Amino acid sequence: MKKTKYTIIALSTLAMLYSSGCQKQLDIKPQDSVEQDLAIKTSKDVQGVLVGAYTAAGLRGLYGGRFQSTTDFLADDGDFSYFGTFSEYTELANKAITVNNIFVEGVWDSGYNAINVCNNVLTNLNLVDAANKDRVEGEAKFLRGMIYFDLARVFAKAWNDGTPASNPAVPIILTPTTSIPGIQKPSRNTVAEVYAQAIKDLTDAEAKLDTYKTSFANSPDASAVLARIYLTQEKFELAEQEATKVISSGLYSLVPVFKDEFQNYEQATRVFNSSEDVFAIQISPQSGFNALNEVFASADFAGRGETVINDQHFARYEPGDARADEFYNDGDNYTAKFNNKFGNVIVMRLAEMYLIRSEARSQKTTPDFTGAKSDLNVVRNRAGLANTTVASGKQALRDAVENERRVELPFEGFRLFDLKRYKGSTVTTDEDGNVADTFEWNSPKLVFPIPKRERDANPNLTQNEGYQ
Amino acid sequence: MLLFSCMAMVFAQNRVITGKVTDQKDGSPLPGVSVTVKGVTGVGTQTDINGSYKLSVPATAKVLAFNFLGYLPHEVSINGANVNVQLTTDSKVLNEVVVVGYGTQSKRSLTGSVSKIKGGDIENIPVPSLESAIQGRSPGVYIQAQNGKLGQGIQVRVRGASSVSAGSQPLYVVDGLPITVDDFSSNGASTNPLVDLNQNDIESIDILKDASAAAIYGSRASNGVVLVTTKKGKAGSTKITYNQYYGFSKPTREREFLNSKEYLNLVQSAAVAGGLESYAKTRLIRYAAGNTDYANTSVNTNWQDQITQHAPVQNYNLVFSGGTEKTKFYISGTYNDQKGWILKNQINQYSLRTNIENQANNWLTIGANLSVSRTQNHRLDNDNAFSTPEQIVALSPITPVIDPRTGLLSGQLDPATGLPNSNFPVYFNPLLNSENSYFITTDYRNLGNVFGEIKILPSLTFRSEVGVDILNSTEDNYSGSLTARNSGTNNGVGFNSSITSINFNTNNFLHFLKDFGKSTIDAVGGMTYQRQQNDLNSLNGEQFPSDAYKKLTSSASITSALSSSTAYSLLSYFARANYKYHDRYLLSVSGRIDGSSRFGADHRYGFFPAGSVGWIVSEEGFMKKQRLISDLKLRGSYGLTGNSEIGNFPARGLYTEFGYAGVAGARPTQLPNPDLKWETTAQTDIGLDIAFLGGRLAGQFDVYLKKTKDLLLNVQVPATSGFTTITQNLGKLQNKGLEIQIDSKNLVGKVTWNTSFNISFNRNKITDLKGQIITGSGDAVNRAMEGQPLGIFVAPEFAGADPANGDALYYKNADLGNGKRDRTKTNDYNQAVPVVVGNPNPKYIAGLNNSISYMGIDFSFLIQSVNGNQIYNGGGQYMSVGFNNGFDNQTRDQLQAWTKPGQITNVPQARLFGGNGVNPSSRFLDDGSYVRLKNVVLGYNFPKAWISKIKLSSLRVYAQATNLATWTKYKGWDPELNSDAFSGNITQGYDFYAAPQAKTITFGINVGF
Repeated sequence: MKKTKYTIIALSTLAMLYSSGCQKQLDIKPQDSVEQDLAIKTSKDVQGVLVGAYTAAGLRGLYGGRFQSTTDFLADDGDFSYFGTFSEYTELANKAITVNNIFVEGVWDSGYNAINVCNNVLTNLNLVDAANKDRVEGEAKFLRGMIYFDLARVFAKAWNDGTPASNPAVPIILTPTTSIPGIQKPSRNTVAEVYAQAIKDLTDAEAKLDTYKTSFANSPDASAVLARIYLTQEKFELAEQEATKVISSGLYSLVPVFKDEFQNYEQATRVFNSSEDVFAIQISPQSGFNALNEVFASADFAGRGETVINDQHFARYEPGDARADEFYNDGDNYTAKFNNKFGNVIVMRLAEMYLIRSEARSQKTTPDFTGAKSDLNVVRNRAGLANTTVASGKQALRDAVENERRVELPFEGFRLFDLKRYKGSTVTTDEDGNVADTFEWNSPKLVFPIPKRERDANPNLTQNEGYQ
Repeated sequence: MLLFSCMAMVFAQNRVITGKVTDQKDGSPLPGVSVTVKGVTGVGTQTDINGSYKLSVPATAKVLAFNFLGYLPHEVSINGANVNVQLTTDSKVLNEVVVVGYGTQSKRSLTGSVSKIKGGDIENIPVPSLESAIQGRSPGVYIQAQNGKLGQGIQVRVRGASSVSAGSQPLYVVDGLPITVDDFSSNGASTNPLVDLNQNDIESIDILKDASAAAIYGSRASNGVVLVTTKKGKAGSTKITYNQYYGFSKPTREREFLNSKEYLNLVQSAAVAGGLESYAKTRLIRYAAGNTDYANTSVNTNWQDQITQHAPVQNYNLVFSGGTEKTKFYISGTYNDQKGWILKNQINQYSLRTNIENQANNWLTIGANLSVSRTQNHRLDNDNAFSTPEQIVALSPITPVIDPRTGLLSGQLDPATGLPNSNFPVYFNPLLNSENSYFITTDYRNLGNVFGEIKILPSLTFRSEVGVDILNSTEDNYSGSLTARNSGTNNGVGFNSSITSINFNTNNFLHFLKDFGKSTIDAVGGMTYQRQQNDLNSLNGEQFPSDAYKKLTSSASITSALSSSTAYSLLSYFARANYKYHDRYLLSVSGRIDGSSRFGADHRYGFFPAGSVGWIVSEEGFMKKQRLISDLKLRGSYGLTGNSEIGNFPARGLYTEFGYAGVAGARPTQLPNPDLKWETTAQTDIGLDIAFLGGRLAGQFDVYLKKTKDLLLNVQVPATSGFTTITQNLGKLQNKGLEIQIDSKNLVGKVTWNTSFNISFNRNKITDLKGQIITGSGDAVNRAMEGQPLGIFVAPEFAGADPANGDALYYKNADLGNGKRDRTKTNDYNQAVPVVVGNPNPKYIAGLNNSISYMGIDFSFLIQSVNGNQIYNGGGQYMSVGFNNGFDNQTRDQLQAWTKPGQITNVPQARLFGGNGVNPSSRFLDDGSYVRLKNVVLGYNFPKAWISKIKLSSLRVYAQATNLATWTKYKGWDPELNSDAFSGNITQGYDFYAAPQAKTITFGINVGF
C-alpha cells in the first residue's frame, strides 16, 4: 500500500536523522566562556590569565576601593560621618562589625579569588615563552604578595600586637584549585608566616621585574609594597632601602599641584596613571568599578553622597595647605579625591614613599633626621606649605609624619594601619561629634572577623578574638 | 482525539445504514460522531457536517454504537436502513477529556492527577498573562505575582517548590511543544514571556501534577507541567465573533504614611532623642524646598498619589472559525492595550493566530498552529531602585511636588549648579524618572508548529510535529540628564539590547489504540528533540549632547558592547501504555529517557519511569444497586521526575574574559563538576474521584508525597579556593499535601447555579542540606535549612520597646538545652539569637467559584484565598522605624512610638539616625493571609429570537471586575507580592516597596455574526 511505503520512508528517515545527528547535538560547547582544559594552553593564554588576575585584584571588594574604604571606616574617629543605607559601612564606623558583613566578606573572597588566579598563572609558567617568563612570574607574585600582606593586616592582629609567630592570620594557598576534590579546607597560618610569604613573593617579584613605566606591575611596585611591609615590621633600614628604590627609580615624580593628582575632569572619563601613581587599579568606562567614588563622592559626581566630612578633619590642616581645598560643599562637605567615577583607584603613590622613607629615616637605629625632614618637606612643599619646623628627634618626627599622613593620605586606606603602627586610639562618635566609645589600637574590634560564610564552609578556621 | 477517530476502511457488505445524529438539547446536527457496529471491529464511520452518516455493515450487524466526546454513548438496534439518534450531553464530570503528554485521555480512565481549566473561564479577564487568570482555579497550584507592575514575572508552584537552587517554575507546553520561558529582562526585575500568549485563544489549560501524568516529560516535570491547548475550528458554517472590552484599573490598597504635621512632630522629637536637633533643622529646611519656616508649612504632599495615572484597559478580538469535515480553521486577531495604574507603565500588544487542520486523504491529516505577536511593555525600574515609583513614599510630606524656587519638579534643578539637585528631596524623586526616562521591552514572537498524522492501521497512527518558538526581545532604555542623581551620569545614559531565542522542537511518535474484548490498550511511544539557542547583543552608553538625543548613536562613551550566545539541547525517548480492563481496572506505565547537553558525558542520560493504577468502583456490580454514588474511582501513582534548570553549563570548568585597562584577560569563574546529574523527585499520589446523584455533586481528592533528592545546589565552599559556590548534587527535600476539589450543581433547570470549591494544603520541608544554611538575598532573613520549609524566616525575635528607655528589645532565645530557650530580653541586638519567626509558605490556598445563570443573565464570582503565611517587610527598616534610619517618611504606626518612661508600646523610641530597632527582626514580619474577590462577571445574552432579527447569531454584554475586594490583616500595600528585586527560591514573601496589584473593572460586548 502507498501509505505503508510513505510511512516506512518517513519513519526510517526520522530514525536515521535522530539516532545519528542528535547524539552529537548533545555536545554543546559554551560560547561566552572557554572550558578550563582549553583555557590555558599557550604562552598567550597564561599572559591572559595574568591580566585576569589584575581584574580580580581590582574588584570593588578589594583594591577597586572597598579594601581602602572598609579600613578607613573602621579607623575613623569622627573626621567623617556616614549617613548611608549600607549597613556594612555603618557597622564598620561603629566598630561593631557583624560576622555577616558583606564588605568584609568581599575583601576575603576577592582576595582569595585573585590569589587563585595568580596561582593558576604561576603553576603554568612552563608554558610561557622565555621572553615573558620572568615578567609574568614577577607580576603574579607581586599581586599575590601584596594581597597576602593586606589580608594579614585586616584579618589578624597587627604585627606589633603580641606575637606574630603565634597570632593567627590567614591561610596560605600557593596552588590553584582546578577541581572539586582539590578544594582545601585550610587552617590559618600565623601572622609571621603570611608576612614571610608576602616578602618572599615580593622579593622574587622585585628581582624578576624590570624598572619601566607601565600600568601593570614593575619592580618598583614590588619595592613599594616591601617598603610598607618593612615599615609595619619596624625594619626601618629595609623600609628606607625599598622606598629609595621607588623614589630613585626615575619613573615617578610628584604632581606639582596636589589636586591634579586626583584627575577629575568636567566629565567622568578614563585617565592614565599620573606621574605620581606608583600602582593604581585601572578603571575605564568599559571595565572596573571605583568603589571609592561610590562611597565618598556626592551625587553630583555619581557617588551616593553619604559620607560627610566633619569640621574635625578640617582642623587638621595648617593654614595655606592646598590639600584642605580638596573638598567641596554640596550642602555637606565631601572629599574631592574621588570625583571621577572612571578615575583609577590609586593603591600606591609616590608621596607615600617619601613619608615611609621619612619615618624610616627618623626611626632607624642610626637616625637620619635631616633626610627624614627633607622627605617630609617634599610632601609639604608640594602642598604649598613651608618646610617643617619640627625639632630633630625620634618622637617629634614620628608625630610629624603621622600628622602629615593624616592630611596627605586621608580616605585612601591608610588610617587603620597607621593607627596600629602608632599605637593610637580611635573613638566612635554620634553625628553631632560626641564621643560614644573609645577603642585602643589593639582592640579586637579593630580586626575584621573571619566571615561567617567562610567558617561555615571551612570549620578549620578559628574566629578572631572579638567575634567569638 | 484519536480515541474516536474515523475508521476509514469500509468493507464491501450488503447492507447500508444511513441516518442523522442530533443533539437532544436543541436538535442541532452533531458532526464528527463516531458510528460503529457493536461487536464488529473495523467497521465504522463519522458523521459529516450535517450530522449525517452512511455506513455499510455486515449482515450480522445488530446494534450501532454512537460515541461522541462530551455526550453519553448511545446504542441503537438496527431496524431498517435509516437510524436516527439523539445524543444527550454527558453531565458526569469524570467524562471530561483532559490533555496529557502526547495525547488526550478521558478523565474517566485517567489514573494520574491533572487539573483542567477551560479557556472559557479565563476569557476576557483583563490581566497581562494567563497565570493570573488561573489563580485560585486549580488545587495545588500556588500562583503569586511579584507586584502590580504589568508583565512582570509570576511565580507558579505546583505542589510546592521542589528545588533550592534550580528552577522551580513548571514546564509550559503549548500545543505539544515546550515554549521558551526564559526571563530576558535586564533591569533587575524579571519579565514574563507568557505575556505573549493571547488568553482568548486558549481552549484549555491542563496542569499535570503527579508523576504518572508528568513523568512523560521526564527531566523537566518535577515542577509540574502546564499544557496549553489553543482553540481549533469545528466543522460547520463559519462563525465570526467579535469581542471588545474597555475598563480601567486602580491600585487595590494603599499604605498609610505620616502627613506633614505628624511628620514634623515625630521627626523633631526623633531629632531631640538622637541629639541631632541643629542638624535636623538644616535638613528639614532643605527638604521643605528651602522654606525656613518649615514648621508652619502648608505643604502636605501625599507622594503616593503622585505615581498613579488614569489607567484604561482596552481589548479588541475578532475570531473566524469553522470549516468542513476535511478542513477546519481558527483565525483570530487581538489588539490589547493596557495602561497600568502606576505612572508610565503600559502594555500594548497585538497578536494573530491561525490554527488549521486538513484531512488530506483517508490516512493522512496535516495541520499547523501558528501565532505571531508583538508585545510592547513600558517597564519600571526594579523595587530596589530609588527610581521605582513606589519608593516615592520615602519622600517627606513637607516637600512640595513643584519646587517654588524653580517652578519645576522637586529635585529637577539646583540653581546653584544648573544640574538636578543632588540632595533634595531626601532621595531621588522617582517622578523625574517618569519625566525623563523610559525602558521599553518589545517582544516579537512567532510560535508555531506543523504536524502530520498518518494512519498506518486502524489502530495505529504515527504523528510527527515540528515546532519553533522564535522570540526576539529588545530592550530600549534611556535615562536623561534629569535622572543624574539616580543614574550617576549627568548627560544621560542609554541601554539597548536584542535577544533572539530560537527554540526548535520535534515530536515523533506512534499511537496505538485497540479494544481486545474487554481490554483496551492505549499506547504511545516515540522520540523528541529540542534545542534552544539564545543570542544576545547589548550596548550601554553615556554622554548625550542633550535629552533630545536618546539613541546610542549619539552617545559619546560606549561603556559596554557585547554579544553573547548560549544553547542547550535535549534528546528524549518516551513511551506510555494505558491498559483498561472491563471499563473498571486501569493500569498505566510510562517512561522517558532524557539526554541533556547540560550534564557531563557520563551523566548525560536520565531515566524517569512512572506507573499508576485505577479502579472505577462504580462500574462494579455491587455498586449498581444504589443510586447515591454515581461515580467512584480510586487512583494511585508513583514515579520519578527530574529537574535540570540550573543554567546551560553547570558541569563545566569555565574561564571568562575580563578586560583590564583595554587589555584582554581571562580568569576561572567556575570549577568543573563532571559528576553533576539530574535532580530527581519521586512522587506518590493517591486519589479518589467521587460523584453523587448523577454528577450533581462531585469531588476529587488527592494526597501526595514528593521527595526530591540529589538537589542541584549551589554549595558554599571555602573562598580560599578562589570560588565561593559550586553546583553539586547535594541534599533532599520533600513536599506533601492534600488537594480537594468539589463541584456542585446546586440548581439545574431554568436557573442554574454551579459551585466549585478547591482547597489545597502543602507542607514543604528540607530534609538534608548536609548542615548548610543558605540565606536568601534581601536582609538574609529567608533561609534554606534542614528540618524547615524552604524560605523560612529566621531572625532575632522582637520584644517591643523597653518601657524604661524606649530601646528596642529582643528575646535572647539562647538555647538552654532541654528544649527551652532563654526568654529574657536584651537591647543588644547581637545577643539575640536568630530563631524561626515565620514562614512564607501558605498553610493552605483555596478558591471558590460560583456561576449562576437565569434566562440570558449569567453571573459568576471567584474568591481566592491564601492562608497562614507571613510576609517580611524588607522596607520596614526604612519606613517603619521612627526615623532611626534617616529621614524616610514613616508609616503611621510609628505614631505609637515610645515617648515617656513607663509607657508600654511595641514601637521603640524614635531617634533620628539612632539605629534603634532597625536591624532585621520579627518586628517587620506580618500575617500575609488574604481572601480576595478575584473575579466577578455579570453578563447578559440577548435572546436568540431578538437578535436574529438583526442578523446576529449571538450578542452578549458583560461587566467584569478583577481584584474587586481584598480582605487581609497585612499592613502593607497588597499581600500578593514577591519583591521583584530580591525574590528567588529562598527569598519568598519579601516585601520591598512592592507596588500593589491592580483592581480592574471592564465592560465588554461579544457579538456573533
